[in-house]
Amino acid sequence: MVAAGAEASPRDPAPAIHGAVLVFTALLVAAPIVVIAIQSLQSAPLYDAARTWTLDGYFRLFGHAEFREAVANSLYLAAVATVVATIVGVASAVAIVRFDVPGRSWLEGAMLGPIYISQLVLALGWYVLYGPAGYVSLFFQQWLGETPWNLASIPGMGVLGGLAMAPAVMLFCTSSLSLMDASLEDAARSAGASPLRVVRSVTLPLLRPAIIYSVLLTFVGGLEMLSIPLVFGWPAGLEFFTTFLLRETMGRAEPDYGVLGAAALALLALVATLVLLQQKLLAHRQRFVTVRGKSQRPKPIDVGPWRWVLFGAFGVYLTFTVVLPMAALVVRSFVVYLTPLLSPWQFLTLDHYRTMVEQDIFVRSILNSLVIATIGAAVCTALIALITAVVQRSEFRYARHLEMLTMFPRAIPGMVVGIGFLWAVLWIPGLSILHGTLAIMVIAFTMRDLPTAYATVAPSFLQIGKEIDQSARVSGASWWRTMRSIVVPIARPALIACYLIVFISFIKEYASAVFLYAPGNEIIGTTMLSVWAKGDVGPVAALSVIQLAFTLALVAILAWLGRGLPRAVEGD
Amino acid sequence: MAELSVTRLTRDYGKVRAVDDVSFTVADGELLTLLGPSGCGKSTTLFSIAGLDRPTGGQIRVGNTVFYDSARGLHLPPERRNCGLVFQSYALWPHMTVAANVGFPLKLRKVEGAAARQKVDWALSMVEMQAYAARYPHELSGGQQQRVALARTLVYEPQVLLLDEPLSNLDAKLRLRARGWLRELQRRLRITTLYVTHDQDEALALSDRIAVMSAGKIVQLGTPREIYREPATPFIADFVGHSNLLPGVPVRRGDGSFAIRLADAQTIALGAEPEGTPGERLQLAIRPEHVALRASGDAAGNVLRGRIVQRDFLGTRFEYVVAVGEAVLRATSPEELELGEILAELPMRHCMSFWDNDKHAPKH
Repeated sequence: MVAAGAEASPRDPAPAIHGAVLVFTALLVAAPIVVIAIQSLQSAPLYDAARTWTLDGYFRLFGHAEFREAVANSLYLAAVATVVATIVGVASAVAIVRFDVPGRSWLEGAMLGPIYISQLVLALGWYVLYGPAGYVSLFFQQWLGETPWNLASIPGMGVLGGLAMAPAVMLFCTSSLSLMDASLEDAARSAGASPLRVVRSVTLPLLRPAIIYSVLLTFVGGLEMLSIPLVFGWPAGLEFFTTFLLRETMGRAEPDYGVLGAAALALLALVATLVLLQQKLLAHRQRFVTVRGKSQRPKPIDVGPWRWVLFGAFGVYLTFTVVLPMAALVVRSFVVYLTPLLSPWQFLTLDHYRTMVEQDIFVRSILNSLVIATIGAAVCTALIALITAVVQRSEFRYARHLEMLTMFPRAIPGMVVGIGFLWAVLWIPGLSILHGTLAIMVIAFTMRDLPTAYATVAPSFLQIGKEIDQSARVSGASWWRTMRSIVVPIARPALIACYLIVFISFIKEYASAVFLYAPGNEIIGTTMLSVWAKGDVGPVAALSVIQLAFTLALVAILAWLGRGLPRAVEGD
Repeated sequence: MAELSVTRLTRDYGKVRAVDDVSFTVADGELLTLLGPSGCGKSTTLFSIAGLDRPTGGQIRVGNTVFYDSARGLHLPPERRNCGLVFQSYALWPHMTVAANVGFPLKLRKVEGAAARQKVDWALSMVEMQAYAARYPHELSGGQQQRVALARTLVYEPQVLLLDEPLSNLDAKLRLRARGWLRELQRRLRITTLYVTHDQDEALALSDRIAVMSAGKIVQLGTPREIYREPATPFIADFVGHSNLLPGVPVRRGDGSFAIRLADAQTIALGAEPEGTPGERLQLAIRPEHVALRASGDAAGNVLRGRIVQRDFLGTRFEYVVAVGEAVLRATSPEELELGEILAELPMRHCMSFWDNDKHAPKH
C-alpha cells in the first residue's frame, strides 16, 4: 500500500530507535533458545572445537529410561495439579464473585494473595507442616499410628501443585466473571431458575473459555514446576522433567550436553505448543463472553445461610494452605527443632537470624537479591516502556512482531531460560565477562518477566487517546520527544506498578537462577535451595521469612498505590 | 502565512479509496471548509496535511515548502510542518497545566524564559483564558478546553491552522458563541485555515469558501452563497439545506417552457433545463422553507395537491410532512394547519433541477 519506511529527516532518530528495540528484544528472547537448539544438535559441548552436527543427543535422550520416567511423572503431576487447581480456582471465583459470602472483597484478596508468594516458599511451608516429618504429619502419626497422607508421592505433589496454582486460575476466572453481563443470569433467575441452577446452566457454560484457558495454564505450570518436585520429590527419589534437567547439569562433573540440550528443547517445545494453543483459544474468547463497556459487577446472589458455610470453607482452606504453613515457617525460623513431641518454647533461638547477618553467604544472598531487584526492575520497566511505546505508539511496520516477541517468554520455562543464558554466555565470544555475574541474572530475569511487565503496562498505554500524541507531533515534537514528555509521564502510575511487580518477581526468582549463579553471587532463591539440600531447615526458614517480609512490604505499597491486585501476574 | 495547496491527493486503505483525486487551494488568510458526511474523506485529507496520515499519491504544499510529494517519495514528518491542528477531542495533555500545555510547543522551539511567558500570555488572552493558566485540563469545561486547544496551536504562529470538527463536542448554545469568536479570531489573525465539519450551518457561517466532499471526492467548491443557491448535484442540495428531492420525467412544452412530471402525473414548471447531459429522468429539489402551504385557494400554477400526514411543533414554526402521491415533501410554515388535504406551492425561482443520469449517485 504505502512505500516502505518513512523518509524521515536524518536528524530524526525514531526509525533507528524502533529498529534497535526490535533487534535487542529479538536477541534477548532468541539467544538462549538458539544456543540450546544448536547444542542439542552437537556431538560435544559448544566450546569443544572437535564437535560435529548430529541427532545423537535426541536418540540418547529418548533412549534414557530415567528421562522417560521423568516425563511420565511430570505429565502425571501436571494432570493432578490441573484438576485440583481448576476445581479450587473456578469454585472459589464463582463463590466469591457470584454469592453474597461475608467479606467477599477481603476473601478475594486473601485467596489471590499467594500469587505473590514464591512457590518455593509455599512448598517449604507445606513441607514443614505436612511433609513426611512435618509437624502435623507427626502429630497424626502419634495419634493414629500413621499419617493418612503421603505428600512425597506424585498424586500428593500434584495436589500441592494444584493448590499453588489455584490463585492464578481464580484470578483469571474472576476477571472473566466480572466482565460477564449480569442480566444473562438475572434473566435465568426471572425465568425461574434457582441460584445453583443459574451457576450450572448459565455461569459455568459462559465461563467455559476461561476454564479451558486455565486448564492449559495450570498444565503448563505443572510441567515446568521445579519447587514442589525439588522439595518433596527429590528426597523421595522421584524424578521429574525439571529435576532431571537440574541433576543432569549440576549433579555431574561432565554433563552430557547433547542430552541436556535435547531435553531442554523438548520441554520448551511441549510448553510452547500448549501456550500457543492457549493463546489461540483466548483469541476467540470474545465470541463466548459478553463484554459490555460499562458493565458493573453484578449484585451477588443471596444464598441464605449457605453464605456462612462458604465463609467457613474459605476460612478453613486459607488456614490450612496459607496461614498455618507461613506461620510454621516463621515459628521454624525461631526454634531449633519443631516437633509436636516437645514444646517449642524450650528450643527458642535467634541463631538462625544471627546466621543471616553473620555468615557471608546469607548476607551476600540478601544483598544480591536486593541489588538485582532494585536495578533489574528499573531495567525491565525501562525496556518495557520503550517496547510498549514502539508497539502501540509508532508507525513501525514490525510493531506486531515486536509484541509477539515480547509475549513469547511465557512459553519458555524458567529452567530453560537459565540453561540457555548459561550456554550463551559460555559460548558466544565476548559474553564470557558476564559469566557468574549479577548482570546475567538481571538479563535472564528481565527476559522472563517481559510478558508480565508488558501486560501490566500495555492497558494504560492503550487508554491514552491517539490524539494526545498526534497533537504533540503536530505542535513540533519528534516521536522520541513525544514519548518522553507526553506518553511516559501520563503512563507513570502503570510504570510504577510495573516496577513493583517486577521487583517482587525478581526477589522470588530461583528457577532460572540455579544455572546462572556462581559462588559469591548467590541470591536468596539459590541459597535457599543449596542450604535446603544440606538439610539446614532453620536458616532456610529464616531466609523465607525475610523474602516474605520484602514481598509483603512491596505488596502493601502496590495496594496503597490504589491499583490493588494487578490482573497480569501469574504464578511461576 | 502562506497558501496551502493540495494537488491530486489520493489515499487508499487496502481496496477502499478514502480520498480520490482531491485538489484545492486555500489562499493566504482564507478559511476554506471541507464539508461532508462522515466517511467522505474530509478528515483523512486534513490528517494528510498535518502529516499524521500518509497519502497514497498526490502533492501537498504550503507556501514554498513541499509537505508531501508522491512522485519524489517525500513525506515530511508532522513535527516539521509547523501546522496548527485542533482536534475534535481537544487532546490537551492531562498531566500539564493550561500554561504548560500552551508553553510546550514553545519549549520545542527553544523559546524560553520571559519571551515564552509573554507568548503564552498573548495566546491565552486571544482566547480569554489567562485566568485559568494554572488549572489542569480536567478542571475546565468543554468550551474552555476547546479554547486552550486553540491557544496551544496559535502560540507558535503556525503557517496553516487545521480544525477538525472543533465545535462538535460543545452544546448547541455554546457552539453558536464559539463559532462567532472563532470567525472573529481567524479574521483578525489572517491565518490560512482549513476547517473540517459535517455541520452545514457551521460551514455556511464561517467559510470564505466551501468544498463539499462525498465518497472521497470534492463534488463542489465555491462560496457559501454559491453552494447554497446553486448546488451542483442533488446530493449537495440535500446535504446543504435539506432539500426535498422529487423524481420525475422532463416535459418540453410547445411554448418552449420546461417542466417536470412527477410520479403521480402532477407537473411543476421549471425556469430552464438543468445543465449537463439531458436524460430520461430528472430530480426536482426544493428546500422545506420555500414550500408554501395553504389549505385552500388557487390550484393553478406550480401547485401540488397533497395531504399533510404529520405535523411537528418546533416553537417558531411548524414542520409538515406532506404526502404527494408516493412521494414525501417536507415543508415548514409559521402557520398551524390541520392534517389532511392541502395545496403546496413550489415557487419556480426556488425550484432546482438535476438530470438523473447517475444511478449510483449517493443518497442521504
